[in-house]
Amino acid sequence: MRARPTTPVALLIGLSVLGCTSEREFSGIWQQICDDAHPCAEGGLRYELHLGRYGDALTGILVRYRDPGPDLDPFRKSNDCGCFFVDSGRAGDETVGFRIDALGVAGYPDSEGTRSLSCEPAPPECPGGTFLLKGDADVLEGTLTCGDVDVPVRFEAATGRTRTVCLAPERIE
Amino acid sequence: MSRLLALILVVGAAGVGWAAPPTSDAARLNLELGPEFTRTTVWILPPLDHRPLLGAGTAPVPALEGLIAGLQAYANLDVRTPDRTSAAIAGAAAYRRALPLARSAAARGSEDYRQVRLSAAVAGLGEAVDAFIDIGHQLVAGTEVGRTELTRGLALLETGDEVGAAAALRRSLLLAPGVRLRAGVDRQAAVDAQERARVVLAENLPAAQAVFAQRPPVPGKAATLQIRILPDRLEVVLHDGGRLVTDQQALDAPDAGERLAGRVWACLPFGDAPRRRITSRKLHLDAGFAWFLFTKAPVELFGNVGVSATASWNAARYLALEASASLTNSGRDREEDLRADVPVGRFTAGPAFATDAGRLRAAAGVGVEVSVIGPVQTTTNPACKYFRPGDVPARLCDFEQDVDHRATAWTVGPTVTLGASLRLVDAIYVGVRAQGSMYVFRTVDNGLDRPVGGQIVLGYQLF
Repeated sequence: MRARPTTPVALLIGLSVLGCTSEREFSGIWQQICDDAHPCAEGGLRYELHLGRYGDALTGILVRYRDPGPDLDPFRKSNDCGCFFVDSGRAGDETVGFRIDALGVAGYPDSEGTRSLSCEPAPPECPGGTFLLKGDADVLEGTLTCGDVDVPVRFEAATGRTRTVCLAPERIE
Repeated sequence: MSRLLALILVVGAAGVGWAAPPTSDAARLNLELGPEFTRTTVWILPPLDHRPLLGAGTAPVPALEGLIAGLQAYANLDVRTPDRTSAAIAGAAAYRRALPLARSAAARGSEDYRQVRLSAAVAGLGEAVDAFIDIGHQLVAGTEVGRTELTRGLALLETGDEVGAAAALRRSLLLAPGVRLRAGVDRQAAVDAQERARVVLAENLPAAQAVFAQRPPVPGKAATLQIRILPDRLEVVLHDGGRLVTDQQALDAPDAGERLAGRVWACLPFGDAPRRRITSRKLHLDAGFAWFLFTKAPVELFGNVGVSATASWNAARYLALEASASLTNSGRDREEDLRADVPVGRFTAGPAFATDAGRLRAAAGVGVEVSVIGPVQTTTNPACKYFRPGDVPARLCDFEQDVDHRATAWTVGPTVTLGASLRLVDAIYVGVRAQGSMYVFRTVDNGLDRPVGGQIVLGYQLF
């Protein structure tokens, strides 16, 4: 008849967790890493993902950076080469997939148009850019598909606050 | 919340004062003690009649019967009569184990005495008497113990130890005042020695507290009452816990036994009835944590956590009137479709079937719930969750179209509650309560209905 004193407390906590837990794995910042299996062109582009996961749905921003060269950090605002909205994103237990909305029209991180200088010459087109990735809380690996070309890519989780601003060109002063 | 707890403490403190007014034992005796009252146990030992030491007869003493009957008349006492006390002592396992050994030692000592092995007789009989007294055999068969000590005194007398013999003879007379050596049958020197011992006792009789200095070996730790009968009075010694109380009563009073019983009763604890005082309280207040979820919602299940307070009034046997209020805030669903916290205030009231069983209390009730549910904002579009208005193209998220806004709603519906509580100490209890409701009226259809949840509370039985 006598119950263990921890039982009601554990029950309450369990029920509370059941009712208000949201699924957030893969939410956060992911930065593209270059290695032998996932080579990057010298002076090419590097990608940074700012993702938000809500259950099985995925959204966020892809930020493109001009690679300044070996031993230099490409993920600086001065290297910004435009941002794009993540569209049609889906997330599973170990997989992430999304396409880039309006890849030909890059957005700006702020109203001053910071990217314009660092993005010359204009990067190559990537028609129908789609990412299909697989991994865990630390690493995502997979492919970036541009038209008929699949490019192997690898991302590692980074700390920081995700970016939610990607201004359209017509909003630049 | 802190104000509510302070109110409960203040009102509870006042309730303690009202619920337990100081009452005399005599006044409490006139009240119904109730089935849960624990009476004070008193073991009355077989009386020790010392009248023969003083040359008086052993006629029945009406005051002795009056004393026992007087104590038995008090409803708060559980009086164990002398016969029952003797049986309890004799029934103890230690007594039953030690008695054969003591009697064997006594038999060997007596045989040594008959065979004139006086030193062995003195030693063996002394061991036997000590063993008898250790187990309380003198309270069951005082004559047997007194005769054993008498034999030891005779052995000492024959060894020429007149001082030791006199002490042993006095001790044997105190244990068995009626046992006498007979002139013409026993040695005259022994008869004279015993008479001298009796005269010494008659002239300087030991006080009752010296005779009854040790608490008798009765079961448990209850009070014991030992009685000595003298020609003109009764003397009693009461052992209660660590206390030793002595009293005496002259026998010439018409109601001597009852008078002595009244004084003994006044020295005893009244008994214990804490449960009766607690369970008679009618108003129970509690406060604690509340949790629930809407089993019908436009999004996946999400928890609501907050605080609650409940008042329960015992209107009649098995019938309580309960009112409860809670204030909660929502968590998030798995998809985070719920975009803003939803505060919910709930008030329920209604009758309940309530029953108590010792420390446990169970209640089942029905009633009406009136709730106020704050604005509800939902969306299933992930872009509307991630971006702020103005930061995302309308083709990905149109905040006007893709986000649903519902205003504050008032709802009314029937509710069912089930509860159980366990009294911890005094009037403080801990409880759990489950509740389910269904709304039949609402001012705004926000899609939220059928709340199911529970509470964990700490309460106080107030009045």
